[in-house]
Amino acid sequence: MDFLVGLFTDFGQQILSSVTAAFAIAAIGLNVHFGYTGLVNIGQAGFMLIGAYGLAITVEVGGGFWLGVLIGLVGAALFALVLGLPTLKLRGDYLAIVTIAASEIVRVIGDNQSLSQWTGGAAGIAGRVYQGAFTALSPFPANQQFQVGPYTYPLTEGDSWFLRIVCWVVLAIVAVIVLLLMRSPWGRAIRGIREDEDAMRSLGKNVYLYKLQALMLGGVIGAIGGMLYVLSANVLADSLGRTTTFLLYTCLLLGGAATVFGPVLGSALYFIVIIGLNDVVAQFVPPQIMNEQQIPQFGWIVVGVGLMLLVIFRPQGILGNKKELAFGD
Amino acid sequence: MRSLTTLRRVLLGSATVAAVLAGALAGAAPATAASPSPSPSVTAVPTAGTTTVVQATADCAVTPRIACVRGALRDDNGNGVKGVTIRLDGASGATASAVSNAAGAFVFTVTKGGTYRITLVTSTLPKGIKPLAAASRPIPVTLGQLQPAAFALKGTFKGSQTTSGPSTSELHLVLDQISGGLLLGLLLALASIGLSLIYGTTGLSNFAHGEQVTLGGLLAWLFAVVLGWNFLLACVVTVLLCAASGYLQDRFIWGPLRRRHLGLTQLMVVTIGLSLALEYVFQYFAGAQVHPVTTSIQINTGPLDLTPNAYLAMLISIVVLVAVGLLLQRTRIGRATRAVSDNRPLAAASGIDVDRIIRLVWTVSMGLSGLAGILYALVYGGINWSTGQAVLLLLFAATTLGGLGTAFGALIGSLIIGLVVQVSSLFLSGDMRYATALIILILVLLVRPQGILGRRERVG
Amino acid sequence: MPAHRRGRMLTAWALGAAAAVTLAACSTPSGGSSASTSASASTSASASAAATPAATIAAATQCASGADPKTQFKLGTFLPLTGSLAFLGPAAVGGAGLALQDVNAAGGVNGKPACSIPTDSSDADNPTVGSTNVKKLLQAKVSAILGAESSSVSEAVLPTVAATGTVMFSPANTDDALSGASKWYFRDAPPNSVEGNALGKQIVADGNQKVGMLVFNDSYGTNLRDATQKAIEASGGAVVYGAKGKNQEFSSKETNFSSQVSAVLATKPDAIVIIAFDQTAQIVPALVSAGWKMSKSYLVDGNLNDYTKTFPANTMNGAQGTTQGVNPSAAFKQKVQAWYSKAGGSTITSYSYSAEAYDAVVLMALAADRGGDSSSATIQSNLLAVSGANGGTVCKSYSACSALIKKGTKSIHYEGFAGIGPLNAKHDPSSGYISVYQYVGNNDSKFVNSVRG
Repeated sequence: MDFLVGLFTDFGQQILSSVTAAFAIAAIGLNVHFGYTGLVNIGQAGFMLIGAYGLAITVEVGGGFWLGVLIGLVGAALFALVLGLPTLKLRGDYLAIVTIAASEIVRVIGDNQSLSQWTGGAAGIAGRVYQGAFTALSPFPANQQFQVGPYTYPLTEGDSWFLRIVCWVVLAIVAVIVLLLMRSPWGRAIRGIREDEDAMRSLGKNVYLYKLQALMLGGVIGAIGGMLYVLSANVLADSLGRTTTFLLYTCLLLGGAATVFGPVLGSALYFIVIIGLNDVVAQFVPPQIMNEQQIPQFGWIVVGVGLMLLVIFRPQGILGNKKELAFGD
Repeated sequence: MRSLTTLRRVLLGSATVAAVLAGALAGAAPATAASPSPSPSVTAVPTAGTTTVVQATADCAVTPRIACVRGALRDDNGNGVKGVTIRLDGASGATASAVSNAAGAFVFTVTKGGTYRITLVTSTLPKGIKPLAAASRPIPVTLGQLQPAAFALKGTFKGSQTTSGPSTSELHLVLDQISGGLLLGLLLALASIGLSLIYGTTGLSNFAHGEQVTLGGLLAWLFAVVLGWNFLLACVVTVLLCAASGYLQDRFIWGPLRRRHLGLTQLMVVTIGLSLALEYVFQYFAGAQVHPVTTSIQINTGPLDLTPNAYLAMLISIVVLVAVGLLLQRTRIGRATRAVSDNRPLAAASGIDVDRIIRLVWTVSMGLSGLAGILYALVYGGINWSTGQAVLLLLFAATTLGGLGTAFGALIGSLIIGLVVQVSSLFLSGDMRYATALIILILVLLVRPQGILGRRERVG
Repeated sequence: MPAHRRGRMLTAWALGAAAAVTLAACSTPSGGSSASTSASASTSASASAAATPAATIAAATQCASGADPKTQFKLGTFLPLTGSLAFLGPAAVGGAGLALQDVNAAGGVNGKPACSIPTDSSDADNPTVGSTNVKKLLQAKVSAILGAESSSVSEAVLPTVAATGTVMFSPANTDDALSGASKWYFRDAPPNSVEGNALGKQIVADGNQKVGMLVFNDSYGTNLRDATQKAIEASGGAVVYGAKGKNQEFSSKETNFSSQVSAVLATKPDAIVIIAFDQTAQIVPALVSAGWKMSKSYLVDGNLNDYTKTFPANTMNGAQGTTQGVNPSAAFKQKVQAWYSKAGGSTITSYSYSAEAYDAVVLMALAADRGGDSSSATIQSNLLAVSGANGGTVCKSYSACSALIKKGTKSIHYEGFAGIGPLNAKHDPSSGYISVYQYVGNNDSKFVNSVRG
């Protein structure tokens, strides 16, 4: 019983955490690409990384928090423009290969020592360098813990109540914007492109332009997710690489692509599954069968197989509608 | 080794004794005479009661109450300069002189900390050698620490041998990288041809292709190193198992999914899931460390300055690639494969058993990837769970560059990517060279999206 | 290789194949998703149960949920179990596990058995794993966290951990930037500046003036390189390859070292320093193949491993390496391996940071003993005093030290297996002693001497 109470307390705190919200936001961005427009972007982590660098480096050189946010967003929009211009006229898998390559290039440049006076190279930018600019905005007192139910967090520092509130408010705003956009003529147009590009073209729509706009919008949302994520971590090029993009896909497909709340539900569920799996296995499987090191490895195997099964048997995810499927040919 | 160390100490010791004696006999350095003249003993630790705080010794081991001042004199060829006197003077008149041994090394044992002045007695330098910087400078000496006291020298002494190390000319370096690039390109080609054929016949971008390379390397490690089988046998079994994995994958995963008419994007995400699962299956069973497929180390030889294993790997790659090429060009089944790759519905309509061809493509592709993994591990000293993940983007770059879906394009693309990755390390830092390959990939897509050998209509 | 491991490996591979097949079968509509995993788990259960007698050592120290951290010492371990640093995991897991076993054998902390919650810190590539697990540990209100190994991962979670007032004690972080990073952060691996200083001086004192450095691009690699380069240059030597700002580091994901090796040899170095982790197993063959004599090579604490089974005999002959404190003794390694085998683990190949993990756990347990309770605040305020920061009676094991504390000795100095000396005001190890090792015929290293860094 104690075990179950502990497990569910863990679930709750993970759902409410800022990381879940940040990844849900990035997944919403990916949803704009993949779910609504049908663009296969395998470099969403690159957009997150650009947002994170934009914020952290600007604060680091004294530009202030809001300028940092602005630069991060503009950077992501430009990145989308550069990627989209040459590739959106080509077949879909070219965009996939270009986005994965481009985000890898961003990662390698971030890791590289030649820019380390700004990026910190492979060591990254430590949280204490730029997080002060954010915690300074907190209306709550510093160095105090606050308890709600079983959850005690600092009010201002680290993964605080302040950060959690900001993350979830931003998430709500982003979700509402996407919801409204998708109900607008613009949203209908991009969903039309996903269903049948040629039909949209024959209606006189500039398909290329719509795709480019969608790529930029989703990228900017990804950058917001990246910034919120690094507010409780550090900016590290390797941490926002291919693995993170794959994780975002898992979250998105789990919740349901082309739905507004799918990415949010998917992110929350993803973390719950990971925690639950590790805890249950650690609790009930003796070490002779699976030692301490093999338990989390086993968890990842299950995630991989789970992703395969999910896409095969329930491609619309939990909330999705089978009629409105993001997977075209 | 214990005896080796002792031997080395004895040799060092006798050399120093000889050198010190030679210095004393010659009487060339007045400083030696003026010093409180410690007996030219070679005991490493001064005996209790002596007032000497600084001594030239044969060797020195740091302890909390002893500091060692050590250095060596070398000429431009890297040879030790022997017979040179070095003086170490302390604040309270303590002084000692050491004469460099055959390796150019000199050692002082100091039992009192403080600032000392170390001086290279330039008159004792052989002809043709000059100090590069000041011949005398103060050095801090702290008990319990090692204090290096090197003097950089310029020039060579008479009879100094040029070391017979690896040739290091610019040209040689360039050739080195080109031969390395060819080798890498051929290994990539083995894997990327499969990737390209699968793409050509099914339209699938297989993100789990890198893991098939890893699988080959790890299976070879299991058989050849863990179980100690004969290497060739291990290779054959590994390739067969990898080919079988391709067959089974198509039989039980990709074939049924094709029949369910899953979209290509959907299938691509399935391969992402598979790659994730496989990576951790490797960690689960084989651990995360680098596993070698052989524990021997060979010396580079021959015109390309590669190891015999590397030549062998290149030869095997070429033979296999030529065989695959002939298979595609000359045989019925090869022509059928190309037909499926060109236009699947048309091929099906003309009576080709498309599913059978695709199953064959999967089987051969995975066998080739497994072979690539074995050779990769053989040539580059081992493989771990993430090696395939690291080469996957190079494989994609190679196939896209050559033209998605064309086998010969993949070969040419691989060779170009291999060369670019190796040769660009002459100009770019180590971790940027992979970015170069990816930047080339993006640029090619801008200029010629269909790749070098691809055809226009595939693109839009 | 011990027979039991070979057996496990075989079973494992066979299982992998079986799982792949079952998994493949799932794609047909009739297959069930859970069937494959549960089937493989049960097969493996029966196979292993036959091989090893059922003994549940590790499970015994697992914390029950809801245990009060004030009265029971709850250790949250946060070590790399998956990902690119996972090869370092077994050594630290074993060290920490052995320490808990020794603590409990001596009666536990404040008379109650200590327990642990093991979690995975993963690596920089998987940031969500670390953040998820650290929050899990904080939610469980652990007395202290042991980890992380990667400096980058520590940096990533430190803001969160410090804000909740929980002790985080790393057995392996060496990045200089972490010195005094937070009052809640401790480590018993020395900052790179100490080791780099000793290593750089050793290289030049051995008569090398032109030094090539093969450095992997990671905070550990570049930070230690900077410190070593500083010492080399201050002693009159020069770094001819891999120097700071030259941009010649190799990626931590590098799999092919031929171009780096050609490039470093082209600079005609007198000596080569290899600053890397596991990549060393691939770098050394590449160097040797290109004609380099390993006797003029230097290794660092991250790769000063036993290469007996990796390379042909005499390959490493004469190569030297530095490490903080002392390398753990053979007896210690055997005990760690014995514990790890009992906990279901296989053969440990690298013992890097094993002794540090052991000492960190013992130090935190002693701090809880000294303060009278196991809360994080108590451990934080007592850690320096038990590490010998105020001097005091020297003791060498948990049982001896806790006996001293029970007798009322205020200041003690726990001298563990890593030889780190007291922790200083910045919560770094202060001894600053760096041991120099030299490789001998069978590719294992022998202690040469200890120098102050």
